[in-house]
Amino acid sequence: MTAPTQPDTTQEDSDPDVRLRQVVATHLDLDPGRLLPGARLGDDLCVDSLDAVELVMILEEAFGIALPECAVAEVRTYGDIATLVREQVVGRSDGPGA
Amino acid sequence: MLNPDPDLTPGVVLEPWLGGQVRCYPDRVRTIVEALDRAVRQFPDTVALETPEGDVTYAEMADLVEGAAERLTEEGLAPGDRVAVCLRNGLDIVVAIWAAARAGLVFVGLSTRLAPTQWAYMLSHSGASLALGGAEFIDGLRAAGAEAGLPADRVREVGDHLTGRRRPWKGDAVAFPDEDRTYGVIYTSGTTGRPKASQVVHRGTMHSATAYVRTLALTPGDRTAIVFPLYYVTGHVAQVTPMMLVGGTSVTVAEVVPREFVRLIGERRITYLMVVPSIWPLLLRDPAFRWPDLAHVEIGAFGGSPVPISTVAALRGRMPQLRLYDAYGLTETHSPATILLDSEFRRKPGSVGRPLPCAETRVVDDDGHDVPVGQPGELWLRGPMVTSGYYGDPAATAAAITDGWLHTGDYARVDDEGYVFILDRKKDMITRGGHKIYSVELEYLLVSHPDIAEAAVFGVADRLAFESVAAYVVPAAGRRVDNTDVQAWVAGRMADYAVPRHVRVVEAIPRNRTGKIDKRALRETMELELNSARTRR
Repeated sequence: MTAPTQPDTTQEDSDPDVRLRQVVATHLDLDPGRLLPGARLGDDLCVDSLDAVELVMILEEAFGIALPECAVAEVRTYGDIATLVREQVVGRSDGPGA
Repeated sequence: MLNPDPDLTPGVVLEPWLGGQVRCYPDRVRTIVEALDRAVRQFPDTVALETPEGDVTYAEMADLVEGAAERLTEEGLAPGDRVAVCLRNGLDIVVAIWAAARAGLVFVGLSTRLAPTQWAYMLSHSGASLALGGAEFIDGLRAAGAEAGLPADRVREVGDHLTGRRRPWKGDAVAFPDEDRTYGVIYTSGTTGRPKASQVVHRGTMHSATAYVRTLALTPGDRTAIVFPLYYVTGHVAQVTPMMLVGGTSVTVAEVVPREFVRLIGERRITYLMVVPSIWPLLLRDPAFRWPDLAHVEIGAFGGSPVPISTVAALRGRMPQLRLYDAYGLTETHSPATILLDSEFRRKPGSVGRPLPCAETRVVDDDGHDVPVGQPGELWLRGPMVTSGYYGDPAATAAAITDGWLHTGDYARVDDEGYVFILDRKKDMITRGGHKIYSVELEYLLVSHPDIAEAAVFGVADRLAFESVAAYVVPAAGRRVDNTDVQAWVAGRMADYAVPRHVRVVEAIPRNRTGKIDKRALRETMELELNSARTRR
């Protein structure tokens, strides 16, 4: 049976990009190799509106961040997600009490 | 179990329907056209609809309907002809439904989420002689029309076709339709690989709308936000028509963006929410979704799939003023057949409530014999809300409805107090958000791929959408296929919510000892695997 390749969990989880790839690939149950920066959520990754909402919830839980709804609405590609999450993770670590 | 003797149920009388005697409300308004006529006389200046295209009162809505009916007739459409519409929620689609009914036509609701090839089937099957689509869908609709053999000039962008002309409402100077007339068809996913066209009948709509008015205790001041697509039954049967009966207002919502929706609920002073269960967690994520800011929201109704107890508890905490209702019904029952009342959630968790006064239930075994009280079996429903059948498909109608009893395909049990508990879906149906996906329809599509020999499709648990679509596929001899191929094949041919999220390419699909595919086992295996991966994450 061919299941999507499991993400490499031996890599350093503290790298947000690596961890993001793990979380997204697991949630969408697809090969991490499909998560290219230009991969379109709908057309290439077959993400429907419910998948998208659930993905936002899972990313917020996984990274302890809150993704601004206005920014989420602009997300079109996996690269957009990576940028948005990276910004929020950096913003959190730069913030008060970080 | 048959319900108590009809004589014991107040407020209903027996009338003939589908070859039997069913319980009807004797004081009902008979047709959606008469409902509009009554609203024009009783609440002409009340705002009927608030839409992106503007607000209209009941008097204005009636004039728009009269104008649209006239224009459709000028297009050469005669009573009984089908007019297909592919429109987002808004003024056009409401006018389309009522104008079709006024002119004796049949509206064909095309889901905006489907692929053009699916629209083509529906245009062809329904024999639609005119198709109207929103600007964002018109290219696909034209392609569908061409595939269906519809002349190019009979597929139009909606433009001002439906709202560009007003004519004074003529009331009963134009004969009202018979209440047993079909005024719409709505396609439901089919167990044989093709969707079936459930007929929408005035009698069914008006009984369901009346049931909502009475059960939810709707009043003239009520205002409802319509997020259910109006090309399905719920939006116009559970919301627009009940509002018309009480003189309330319907606010159409084209697309749910959670934060914007919460803002709309507040700004428009919504009192009655009707949503699919997956919407509640999204609303609860917004801190603004709370009492007392939204104290005006008094009714929270849902249906289509179970709501987790934790969600109900969260709603009780954040919105203590809400009266919650869980409605169970099908397209074939014009929305509700049973409703769980607010006061019953704690006492009967997991139930979809008791049958409405005009509904009767039976639970039967595979031979159609009633099972003992409390035992599981297939749920059958009877009442005036049951569809008259599937358009153009007498065989499917005969298989689904016998002596007025609709075979729901759902496994259920009914306890000794008459509460219905849905246990499983016999029809192998997957529920994603508010959408229904028949696994057989998807399996037909998958095995039409030249590289796929066999497929098994089923639902797996999803925390937000209730279920996700999963598929096992076996490649044809000497061929290769991967997950991306499978998803891409479906993506261009069915709605986005039907694309399998979880795909496994296997040499053979596991079967039980009798050689049958055991989908329950497949589901359990897949869910274990997915949960294991999520735990590792």
